[in-house]
Amino acid sequence: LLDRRAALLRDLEALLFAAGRPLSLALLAAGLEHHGEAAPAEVQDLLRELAERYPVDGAHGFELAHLAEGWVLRTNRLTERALAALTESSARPRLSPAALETLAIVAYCQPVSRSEISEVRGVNSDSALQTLVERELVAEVGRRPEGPGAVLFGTTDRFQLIFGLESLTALPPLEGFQADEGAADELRRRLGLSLPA
Amino acid sequence: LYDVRQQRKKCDQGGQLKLLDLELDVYQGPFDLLFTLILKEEVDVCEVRLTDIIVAYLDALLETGRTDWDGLSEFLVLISSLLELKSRLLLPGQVPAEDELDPATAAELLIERLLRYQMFKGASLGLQERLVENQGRLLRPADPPLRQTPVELPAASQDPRILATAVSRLAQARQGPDASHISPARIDLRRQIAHIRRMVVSQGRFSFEERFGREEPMTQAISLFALLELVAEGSIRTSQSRPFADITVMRREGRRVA
Repeated sequence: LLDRRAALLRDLEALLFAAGRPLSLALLAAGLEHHGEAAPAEVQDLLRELAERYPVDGAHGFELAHLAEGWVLRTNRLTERALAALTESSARPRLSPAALETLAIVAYCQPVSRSEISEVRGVNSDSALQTLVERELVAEVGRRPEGPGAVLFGTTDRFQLIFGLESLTALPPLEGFQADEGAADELRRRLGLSLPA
Repeated sequence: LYDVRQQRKKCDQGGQLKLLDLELDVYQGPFDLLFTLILKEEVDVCEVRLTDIIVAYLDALLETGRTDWDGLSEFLVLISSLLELKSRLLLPGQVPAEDELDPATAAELLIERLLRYQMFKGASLGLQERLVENQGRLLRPADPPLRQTPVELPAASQDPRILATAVSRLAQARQGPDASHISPARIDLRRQIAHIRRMVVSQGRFSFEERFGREEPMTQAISLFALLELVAEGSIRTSQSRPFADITVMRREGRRVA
């Protein structure tokens, strides 16, 4: 007979294998309930053991990853060529620069409306936004309560999965992309404006 | 005018536009000179057809066969400032009372916007890097699909008043747009009777469905009343194979219809 921990690990593995999407700690704990109450700390400990068993870029064909505020099993990157022979859908999603810019604005400013996106980019971004919605990277998340109730957009869990984010807070801070001091002067020069004294 | 002069100053270095020769109703000569004359108010911009200038420029562009990007952007700047000047002169009462930004503030605002855009551009390149780093991994699709996890809301977090406001807003949105400025369809019985009379005379017979089937319901109804009127009057005959089927309208032999 397996001891309790081994049984928990077995079931945890099954849950992660079957889910196909990140499972939160709470969901995993709910799946293990029939073993008697599993405290989040215990589940976390079990996950740590599984993460050691299936490390990222390790010796196994799949790996345990902490993504989108949950845990998920995915294939090892090193198996990409083997999978390419069998799968039709590309594991290398491509996005146009316009779509990536729009995605960056949604990711950092969410929830954000169409017009706010266009304002930052200086051009209408509807088609880029549409592409992102179709690719399930961005979704409608609600409406602005005031005014005419503009539709608001936010990123999806799939966005975090594809971009390898543990959570939205794992995005590098936006300030880090701020242009350096010389950039403003360079812009002034290119626009033919005089430099401030 | 101040703005136009500024644009002019900025665009003056290239000078390719001096080569653009114009033959307009009010002016013949190089574009450059026209610009000067407008600025000196010796030519009234309201009398210049700006489309003619654009057409002349496009012709010249096609003739040379090469795209001179500097010249093109210079032209766009100048012609748009002329357009703005002209529209303001044509609509003097319509000039918005908004406070005009002085060029320095406008430039600073533009630079601020561009810097903000550059920041997001940088962030998008960061995302691109992440995308590449995380490529080449697959998830298995769940089979069978997972049950939707119910969203747990803290008790009493929902305020029924918010729902009421939302529903009333929905109800308001249902009221269609105000179309009172659109004049109603002009159709009346007398005209429709005359119309059908003419059709019967010219065509002998016609199908009601074919002729009126795609009209608006009101037109169809009035046409049907007209038909009944004409039948009662005895000037036409109608036949219908069964109720609700198409009606064939025919001239009544031996009777004058017109």
